[in-house]
Amino acid sequence: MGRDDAIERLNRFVEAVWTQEPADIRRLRDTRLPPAGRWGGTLFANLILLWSGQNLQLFRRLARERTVPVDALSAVVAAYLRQLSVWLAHWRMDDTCGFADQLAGAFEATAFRTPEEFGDAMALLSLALNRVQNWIDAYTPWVQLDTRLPALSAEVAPGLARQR
Amino acid sequence: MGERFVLTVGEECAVCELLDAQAPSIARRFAEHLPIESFAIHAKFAGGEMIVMLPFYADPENEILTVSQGDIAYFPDMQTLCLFYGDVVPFGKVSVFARVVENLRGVRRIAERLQETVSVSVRAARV
Repeated sequence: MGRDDAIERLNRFVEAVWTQEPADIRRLRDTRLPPAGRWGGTLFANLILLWSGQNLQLFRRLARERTVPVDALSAVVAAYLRQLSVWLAHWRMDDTCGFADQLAGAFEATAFRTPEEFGDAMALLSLALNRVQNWIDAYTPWVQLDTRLPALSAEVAPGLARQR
Repeated sequence: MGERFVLTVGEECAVCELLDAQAPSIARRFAEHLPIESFAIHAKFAGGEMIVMLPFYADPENEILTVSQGDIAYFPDMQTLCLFYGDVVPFGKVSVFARVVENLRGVRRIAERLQETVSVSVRAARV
């Protein structure tokens, strides 16, 4: 995948996930993996995507500061996207996985050659992944999780007791 | 006086003003993208703050740590609009680019409810 195709793919994905809840989010919400069930996957996917967005900002900054060469950063981003796809596949987030794998191919081919091109790609990729994460936040009752689920103490979680 | 826009949060409408002088780049990018359809969620760690993702990326500008009620900021890392409606626990610097000038009270009512309802539709449009 060349630069223009990659940009087109990025824009198409952002457009697809912007207005309506993506099918990936419905699958994530409904997927139960034993024994943790549904919330474990939701919280994992949420935080993996959150950190992906943050790391893409870091890669963008490194490119713009000319701290790390674009070809080296591209290799890291490609590996990062492949790993992201492996994780999100656990919760059947197939569309995001396919997108990540396609984009990984573009970075493996060093489709973005200058720090500016690379930085623009990081901004778009960040927008895409952050929007998916945003949809997870839209159904996660963070405040209620805190009020209804107390953290366990040593009395009920013996592993917390001091080892002798 | 900066350009004004209407932020509709659920059934409440607030009039807001862009801070063209303090944050010209972000204010311009925001205005270029109007109308914007999105949804709001509540902030997790910053007290009285409502968050709306925006469909563009911009670099930081007019970064402030201690914001005031009614301030509207952009957070580049997450591409979000942050509307501070109540007491805020500063969590990080944000780029303040607009301010609510009418009906912060109505927005606050909806934003407080987000702690239970989790998300609500949002539209930003020219006056």
